[in-house]
Amino acid sequence: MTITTTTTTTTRSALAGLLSAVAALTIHTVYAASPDDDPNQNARWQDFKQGTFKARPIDARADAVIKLEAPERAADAAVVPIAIRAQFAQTPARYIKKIYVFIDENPEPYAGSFEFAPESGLATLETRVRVEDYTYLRAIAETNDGRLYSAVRFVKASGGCSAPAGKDEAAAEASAGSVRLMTQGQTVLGQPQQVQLMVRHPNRTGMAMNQITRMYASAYFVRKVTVTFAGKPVMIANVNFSISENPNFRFYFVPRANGELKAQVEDTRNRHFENVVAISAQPVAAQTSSPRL
Amino acid sequence: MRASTAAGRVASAAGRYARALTLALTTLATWSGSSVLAQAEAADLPVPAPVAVAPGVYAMLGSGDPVAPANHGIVANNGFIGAMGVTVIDTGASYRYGRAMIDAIRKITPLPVRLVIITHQAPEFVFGASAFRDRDVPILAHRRTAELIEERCAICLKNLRQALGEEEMSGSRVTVPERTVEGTTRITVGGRDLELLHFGPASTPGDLAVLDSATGVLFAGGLVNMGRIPELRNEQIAGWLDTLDRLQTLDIRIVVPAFGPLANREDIQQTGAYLRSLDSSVRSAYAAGTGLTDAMKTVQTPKFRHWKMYAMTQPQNVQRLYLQLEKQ
Repeated sequence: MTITTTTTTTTRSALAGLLSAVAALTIHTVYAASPDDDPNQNARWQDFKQGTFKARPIDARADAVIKLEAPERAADAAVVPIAIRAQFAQTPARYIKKIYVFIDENPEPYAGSFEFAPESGLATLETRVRVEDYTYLRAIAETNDGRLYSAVRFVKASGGCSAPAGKDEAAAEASAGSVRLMTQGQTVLGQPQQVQLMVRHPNRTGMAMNQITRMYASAYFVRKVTVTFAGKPVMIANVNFSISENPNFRFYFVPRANGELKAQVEDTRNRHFENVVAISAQPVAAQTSSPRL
Repeated sequence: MRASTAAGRVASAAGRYARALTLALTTLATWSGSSVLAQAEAADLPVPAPVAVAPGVYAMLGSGDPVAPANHGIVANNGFIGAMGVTVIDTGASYRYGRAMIDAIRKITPLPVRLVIITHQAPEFVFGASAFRDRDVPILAHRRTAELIEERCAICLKNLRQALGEEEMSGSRVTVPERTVEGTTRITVGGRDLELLHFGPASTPGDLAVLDSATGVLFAGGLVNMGRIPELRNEQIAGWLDTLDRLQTLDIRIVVPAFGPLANREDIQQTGAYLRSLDSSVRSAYAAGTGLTDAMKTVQTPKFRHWKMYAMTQPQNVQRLYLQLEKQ
């Protein structure tokens, strides 16, 4: 009796395994995204659009608002550099207040959002994302008047064919949290200054299997980054594991006086990391005579 | 001057052995016709005809293009050596290629295949090995190459399936070499003395170059590319340059590169020149504060623009080196 039950279960689970394997294969073969697909017809994008933006129109000709850059082919799907470039300077009258990043074929397509203010100077953002195979990648900009604009790119990414495997997860966790905040050159009063923020963090998806141990390390990632200058936010990121390991962000702020540039980082274990840099900005006139570092 | 003389030598050697090849083909035509199935499989895969580069040494030269359905993934070089038995060096991108390679060898010699050497872990070199394993041929690689094949090649295989399609890749599977070496090793197989050269991590952690002592033919594996931008995947630039310098000092007459035409010893440094140019230009861009996206667009190696794959591979190589600088 017991034996019979066991046998049945085994057969069933084997059959289920086979069926799901066949299903996975079929999906991969038939539904792999192609650059010929109509980006508007993607079901996951449609769902997200309905849920987040409701019936609000999205202008797909966003060239005057944002431009999205991403490599057509990426050799390492785990680190795909993207640049979302604002096409006008932020002013209190007109500015980009939020940029959403959506990667259609990722297990969690919504990669997160980036909030900006007039103090950001320029709502341009560069970062690196994880991408699943062949996919559309989208940036949707929301301006302060509530209008939406989208820029779309198709990316063909390969799994990291030779990426180092079997990384020491414990060591990666132990070193997590160092935050580097850097500006390049002399900061000038009233002019957008680029900042680079680098966070040492494994930013694990929880979906990558170690090929040797056949185990999945749990998801562990940076979920929020808040950067302020003189106490006012210039960039707030609400993100997830679609951001690559060692999250890296380049963005801008405008100093109106000397002040502190501060980055606060929070991860999914509620660990908090921060870094502060004192910014001394020179007046425009002084800049030409001062030697650049 | 010296380079052109050596190139002439390669050409005349190739001509001489091409005649021998024709003779061998005529002799063996009846034999190869005996296996209808094998012939049918080989017929639908246009593998490169083996080129006799020295007595008993043959190279099969791929197109050097990116892997694509039109070329069936036949882009990399491989070959075989033998006097009393055959040693195969690298195996192409698919099981089908491995099968076709066996057929191509059969047309030249009835000698048994004794050993397969995989020079490094890269998708265009490893997947034909499954065809040789099916015939119980031992497969040898550097230990680190064997480890990387086990760890990473399932992903490479998936990528190739996506690029070439299920049919082209049918039968292909991850085949982990069961014989490994740790460092430079001299072996005797099929009546030939072969030096398996390893000078530390270079184009990959486990590069082997195979030198046939009798003829001075070097199968350079991933270490040397001719007229094709090397795809940096797992490299150590300093170690790679050091390895190229060491190869330069050896008694080498003909080089079979990973990709591109046959070369002479002096040509080895073309790969080194590319690596130096790439490395220094990425370092300058990084030091100047150029962001990754901009660096990928603007960092060029002008002398190598005419090499194959430049448009596709150059930005990827820039990204790899840039990310390494960031970690320092």
